[in-house]
Amino acid sequence: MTIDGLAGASTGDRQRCADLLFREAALLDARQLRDWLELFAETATYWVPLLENYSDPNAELNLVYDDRSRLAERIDRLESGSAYAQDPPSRTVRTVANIVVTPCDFGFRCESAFMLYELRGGDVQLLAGRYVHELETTPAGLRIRHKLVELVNRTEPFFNLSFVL
Amino acid sequence: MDRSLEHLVRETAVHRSVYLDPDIFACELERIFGSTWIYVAHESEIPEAGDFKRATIGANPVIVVRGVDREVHVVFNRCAHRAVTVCQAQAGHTSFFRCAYHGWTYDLSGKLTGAPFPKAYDDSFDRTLFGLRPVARVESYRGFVFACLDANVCGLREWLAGAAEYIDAFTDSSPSGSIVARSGSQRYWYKGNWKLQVEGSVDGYHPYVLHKTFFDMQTRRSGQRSDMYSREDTASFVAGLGNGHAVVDSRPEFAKSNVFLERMRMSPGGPELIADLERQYGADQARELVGRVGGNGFNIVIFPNLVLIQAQIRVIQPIAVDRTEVQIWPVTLDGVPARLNQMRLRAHELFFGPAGFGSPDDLEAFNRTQAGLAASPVEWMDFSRGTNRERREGERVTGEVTDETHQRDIYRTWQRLMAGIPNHALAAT
Repeated sequence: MTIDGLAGASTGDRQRCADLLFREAALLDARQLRDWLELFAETATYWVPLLENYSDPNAELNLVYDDRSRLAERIDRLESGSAYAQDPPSRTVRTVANIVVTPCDFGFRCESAFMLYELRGGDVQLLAGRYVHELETTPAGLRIRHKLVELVNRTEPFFNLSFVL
Repeated sequence: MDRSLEHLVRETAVHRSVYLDPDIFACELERIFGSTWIYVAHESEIPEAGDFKRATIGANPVIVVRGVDREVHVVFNRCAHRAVTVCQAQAGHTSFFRCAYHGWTYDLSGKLTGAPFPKAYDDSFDRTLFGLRPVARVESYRGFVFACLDANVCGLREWLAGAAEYIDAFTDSSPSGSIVARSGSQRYWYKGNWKLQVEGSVDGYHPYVLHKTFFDMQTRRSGQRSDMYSREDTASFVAGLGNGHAVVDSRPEFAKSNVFLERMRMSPGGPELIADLERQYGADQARELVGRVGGNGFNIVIFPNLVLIQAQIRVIQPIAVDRTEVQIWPVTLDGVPARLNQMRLRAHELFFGPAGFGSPDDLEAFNRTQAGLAASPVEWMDFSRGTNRERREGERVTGEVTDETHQRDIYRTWQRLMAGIPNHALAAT
């Protein structure tokens, strides 16, 4: 860490991480969920905390805390044709910005800000928050080993969070 | 008796205006939420003196706080001076409540302890009249704290009638007899009337249809199929318990089934946990604890807006005639291995909450119901399932698991309260 707070990731590393985050956002917005899941390592976890001061997903109540097999089941359900809260499906556009990349022992830790516009059946939902992606370096390229979605409004009542954030 | 309201509920049908009319909604807040016991807290949420949470009785903002006397006080969240709310946090810990506007300060029991520049008040100012106003009645049953705006209400235990044994069963699912609602709560809202979630919480007819994706997933994951929700001829039943309390009780089916034990055996760390529990509690109780990871096997509405559903406390909050907020607290068991409580929380998250595999589809059904009710020539909601086979013994009426027997019973109480027959008279009838 330098005095200006910028981590020691090279320009090339920062670009590779950003490319992955942008690709992930595009796949989610296009609802190509099988391809999206391929971005995740076999042991990956996906966490949407609920508490204002969240700390341990095992010990506390979450909005979502999925391992990769649970994510696959989530996709199975959403694509089953009988997940009524996604019939019709949500249409989304999300912007990922303010990406800060920090190198670590397994690869990179990426913090970013997101804005997500969702439209479904005439109802608009605007969500904002912070993503934290832990990316690991593999021979096949970068893989997500942990994704945290910190919603600004996580302690407020939600209308519908049945799509993937 | 208000005949215009009386005619909105028939033996097997409810008029659409009961879900649509803002005047009826306003009347519900007054005659139902103003006259019956309303759940405001579980004592485990506020274990220490100074612990507080906010709650709502109808439209009334209240603070539930444990005083230095260890008693639970329920006071209106309204400064006695000029109405400003004195408590903003959903929950927390404090030693006093102070109004931000003019600085009036109250102790944990609501007593006024100070107001700036007191010389403007002479001796006729009686500060005992200017505390945070207490709610007229507060009583607790097995840690469930209820309050009532009507001082003349019957006792809580009398009001609970046949629901009390389900609060017992919910609480005694913990080997220590102590449950804890402190892991957090999920909140969601939908565009529909509050009673849609009330009916839906005890609807034994919909799971196999609306939640098929969830049961299919459970079957695929474990290889263990349960036909508990896909048959009509089960040992499960529904019952109206008196005073509008209604239950769908699947415990007889749960007791017969080994599916939960088998699923636990197949889950990561499952066999070790089973062994731990058997060592600590013996084989029978271990089997029960495992069987109840996903819930206690019954859903009960405690009229009007408290639900104990599986392992969760649920409060249904009317906001407007076509808007409802719901808050849900999964409970953990005091004294059991942490791993068991973690599995309970994961089982809850999997189905319930705004991002679960079940709740969003329920809410979708409620949104679609409210939309469909706009079809004005079709005036009645049908609740006739099982009229041909219900059994009545005194206050209690029982039907098969997919029947609407208990939902009809909810509306009988609704009708009587809306006709202006107060709660204390109701409990006696």
